[in-house]
Amino acid sequence: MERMKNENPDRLSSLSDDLIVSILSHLPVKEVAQTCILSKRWQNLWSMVPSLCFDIHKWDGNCEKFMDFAGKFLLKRDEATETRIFRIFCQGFKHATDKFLPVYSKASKWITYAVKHNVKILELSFCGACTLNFPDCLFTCKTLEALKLDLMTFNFSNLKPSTIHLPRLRNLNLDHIDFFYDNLEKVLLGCPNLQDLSMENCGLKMFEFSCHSVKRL
Amino acid sequence: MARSSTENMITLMSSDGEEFMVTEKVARECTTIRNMLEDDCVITNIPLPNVTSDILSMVIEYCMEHVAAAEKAAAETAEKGSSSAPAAAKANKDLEEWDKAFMNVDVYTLCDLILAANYLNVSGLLDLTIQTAANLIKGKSPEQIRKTFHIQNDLSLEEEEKIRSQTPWAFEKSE
Repeated sequence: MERMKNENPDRLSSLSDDLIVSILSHLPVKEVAQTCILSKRWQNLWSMVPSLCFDIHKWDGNCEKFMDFAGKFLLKRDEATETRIFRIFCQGFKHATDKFLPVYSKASKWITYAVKHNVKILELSFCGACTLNFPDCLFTCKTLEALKLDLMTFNFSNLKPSTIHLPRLRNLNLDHIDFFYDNLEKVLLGCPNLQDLSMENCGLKMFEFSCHSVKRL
Repeated sequence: MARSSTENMITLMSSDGEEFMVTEKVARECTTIRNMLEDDCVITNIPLPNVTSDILSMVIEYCMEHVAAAEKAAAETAEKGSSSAPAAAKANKDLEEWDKAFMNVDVYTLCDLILAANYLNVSGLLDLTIQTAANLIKGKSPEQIRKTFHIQNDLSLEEEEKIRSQTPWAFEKSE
């Protein structure tokens, strides 16, 4: 054992790309990107991480830097790598929601990126009294298995997808969204494999429910 | 729960020739071994040329602990008809504590455990070790990460500067 330690002290770098990328999947994107200067071995590993978590808190709420980072990170990322998990957190800054406006204008682009890269789990947490344009492709994403939306105080006048077809969606977790309640039938018809539906603060009153696939509410 | 005397025993042999006798149930925690047993049910001796004895003994320790915890939970459920939620929560917490203590190892052992868990396909152990490695990286500067994992920086100063200047967005301070 001692001999082997001496022969190769750097065990981490000698793990396969897949294993290193799995480790990096547990880190915030900013730290993922910074591993590019560890050594030659690490120069491109960051770009192959399939699970991405963009949290504006890591930029202390500085929108411009956050957007600059996210845009460039996605642009420089390995094009062939899927984004299996994609999370954006843009909440928790009271009285500062207006300054997030530019982020929301970009968010649609990032969501489209995730859909194009076969996203399985998508989590979006936003706040602000404005509208967010969701790309239509989100509601017809064939790979999506879990969708979590928490959109405090948003105006959803334009969250009205004409088609909802999410064949693999199993988990749908909604907070502060009334569209889905008003159009529940349409949602359920479009999500034949939905098993777990949770809705909070969605204007939920009393409603009758009959859907065989949904196991937990 | 008393261990049945007729339970099959399997011998696992490490790369350095040490033999470990384990119950089939424990061996089956490794998906790689489970698949071997399903292909050939009379197999009793399995050489594992990629795993050293010190690492293999740790993998077995992990599998035994998790099998025992699952058996205990199943026995309690059978006894009472249903498992009580507080008891199950406590058992989970105990197992988590055990896992945490089990991960108190140096970075060499940790990386070797990642390799073994991946090769033997023990998903619980792989998740645990990967998460532990991520926790060791989290919040550290590149220099601190190199130090923790003994990563030799083979980039020249010029090369490192070049990468930094090509990706300034990655190294930007938030304020």
